[in-house]
Amino acid sequence: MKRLIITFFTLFFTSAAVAEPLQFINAGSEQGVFRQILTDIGKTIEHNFVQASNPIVASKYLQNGNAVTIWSSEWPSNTEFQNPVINQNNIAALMTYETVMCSRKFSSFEEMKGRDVKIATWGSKPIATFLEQLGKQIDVNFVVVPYDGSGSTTRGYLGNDASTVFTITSRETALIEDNKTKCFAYSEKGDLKFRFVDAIITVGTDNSVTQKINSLISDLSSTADWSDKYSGSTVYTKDSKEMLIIFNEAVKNFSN
Amino acid sequence: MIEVILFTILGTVSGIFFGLIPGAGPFVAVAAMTPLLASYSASSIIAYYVAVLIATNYTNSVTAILYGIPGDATAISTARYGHAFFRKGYGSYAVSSNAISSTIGVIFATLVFLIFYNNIISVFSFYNSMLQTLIIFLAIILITFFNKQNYIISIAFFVFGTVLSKIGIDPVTFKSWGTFGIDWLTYGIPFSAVMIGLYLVPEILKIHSLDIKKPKQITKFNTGKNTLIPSLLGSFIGFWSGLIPGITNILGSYASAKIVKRYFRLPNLKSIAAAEAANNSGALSSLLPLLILAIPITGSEVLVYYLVLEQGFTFNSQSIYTLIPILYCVPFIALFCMFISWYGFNLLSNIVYFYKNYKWLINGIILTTICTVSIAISSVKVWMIVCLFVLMVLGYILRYRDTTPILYGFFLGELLYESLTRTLVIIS
Repeated sequence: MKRLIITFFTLFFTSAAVAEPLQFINAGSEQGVFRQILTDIGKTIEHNFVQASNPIVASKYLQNGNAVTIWSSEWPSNTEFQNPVINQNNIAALMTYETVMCSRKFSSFEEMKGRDVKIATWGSKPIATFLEQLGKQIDVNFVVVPYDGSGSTTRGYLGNDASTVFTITSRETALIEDNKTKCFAYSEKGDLKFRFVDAIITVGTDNSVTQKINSLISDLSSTADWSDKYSGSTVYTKDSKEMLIIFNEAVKNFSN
Repeated sequence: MIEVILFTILGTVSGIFFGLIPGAGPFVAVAAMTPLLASYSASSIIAYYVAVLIATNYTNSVTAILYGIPGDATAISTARYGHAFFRKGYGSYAVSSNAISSTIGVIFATLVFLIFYNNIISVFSFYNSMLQTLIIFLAIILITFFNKQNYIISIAFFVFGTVLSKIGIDPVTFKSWGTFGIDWLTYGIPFSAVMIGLYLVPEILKIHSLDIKKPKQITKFNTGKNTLIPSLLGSFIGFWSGLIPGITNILGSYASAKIVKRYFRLPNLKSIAAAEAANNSGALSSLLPLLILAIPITGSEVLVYYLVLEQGFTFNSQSIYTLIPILYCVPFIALFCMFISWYGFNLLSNIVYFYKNYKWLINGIILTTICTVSIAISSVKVWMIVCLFVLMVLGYILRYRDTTPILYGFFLGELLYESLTRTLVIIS
């Protein structure tokens, strides 16, 4: 028994001393797009995956450095947690996701007018604010049925949790599998003034890691598989200055 | 595909071994291999798990027939009728019935999957938050009321598990809960620490207390007659029971044995056949709610859920397709297990005795390996060590209790909270 305890504690401390590989930190949900992207990138890089599930815990993990993460432009306006510094040196790529509104009950904003509309979407504050403002403009009371990611939002909508859904365009194919569903408003066409802008960044790594992630995403995003999976999203990898401008602009929009 | 086949072989070997240890079963078989599984693809993990499920259901009957000690709750009927046969000198009939009927159960469930999987997907498309809330409620009720201990203790354990899972930051609102301003608690309690401390430690300590004597050998290999109809009946009942959270194939094997006992002539051997067929058929069908709805309905599935999630697996109606290539390996696993649990029965009984003699060493290695890897892959090692230490001490204190509801509470409590929140919005 005594020997067993000694072995146990020796192994405890040995494992604590093992050199750390790169940390992939997911600040998003377990089944959302952030998770998918990090998994895709991680297929060719040795890493440890950390499911932080939210930016508050993710920011704590990031303090240890040697990390790659996806940071949403919604988050810097939240002062309750420490946002990582995002600059030209550590931004590896930028992704913008256009959004879409679909419904099996309505085919335009006009039809919704004056009604309470249950809408499946993220439960986060920026989206609630956006829908509230949109509701005021078109005279609709949106009641949010909250989910923690685009995957669960799609599943909830398809299971009939709500008649209407607001999500990223990448999920449109899955949504229209339901024959009654019609997608009628797109951020890409200017119908919805909301799109997600997320930066794929490195924290506390060498410049070479940022470069490596950058070229990896550049290669991946040109494949057909990526286009299928993330249709409706645009990937920026070429000009870090341009990426930073787009990201900061989106941050400013959320701050207002 | 080669990786899937390799993991199927590993799962079969591991399932055969852990099925032999009373109380270990699929959970310990998965937990013991977590360090290895954590670095392989979701389909390899699922292949391993399917093989484990099948193999454990064959070998959990060895101690049931030899000593009347069921390997797990699903082998209770076999322990009752099979051990009686063994004591009367007809153990070979119980052994053959277990081997043949288990194979019929596995083949039955596999064929149902392969023939009807498109229809199965459409059944699950009706699934929504209200249904999810109902299923979770049903699971909680069944888990707490069909537990071996007082239901008040089970409910308290379930609530405790839920509280543990809620500690940290809410993923939707970003608000902290139960952290009392302590920075470490914002990380939440790691699932692996809960699994090791509050489930594995008490279970391993329970296994230790079992007394196993040197087994008698089976000298003949006879086969029972007229067990095909009870086996098919058991397979059918087991398949549907497998879909019910919390009790899954336990209910299937028990109900099938009871029905056969009541309505068939010379029912004892036929009851074993029905129970074993139900057991294996139900073990496979219990995978459906996990793969399609992301709702694990057994303790070992909770573990598999977290493992495959780590690999980026997405749970939806399409995820059933991951299972299809694995299902083609299933008849081979079943035939191998049939052979080993029938003609290799004496060998398996000697392994049980070997385990008894070296249980400290074997259990020590399993526990140490799992703890070490959990710490090694954790990003906040100190926090993981603290959680492991505290929960292992608590697990030691709770060693005489069935701590399964804590594990269910940890996973289902959070899921219930989320789906109940949505349901309230939907019905408002």
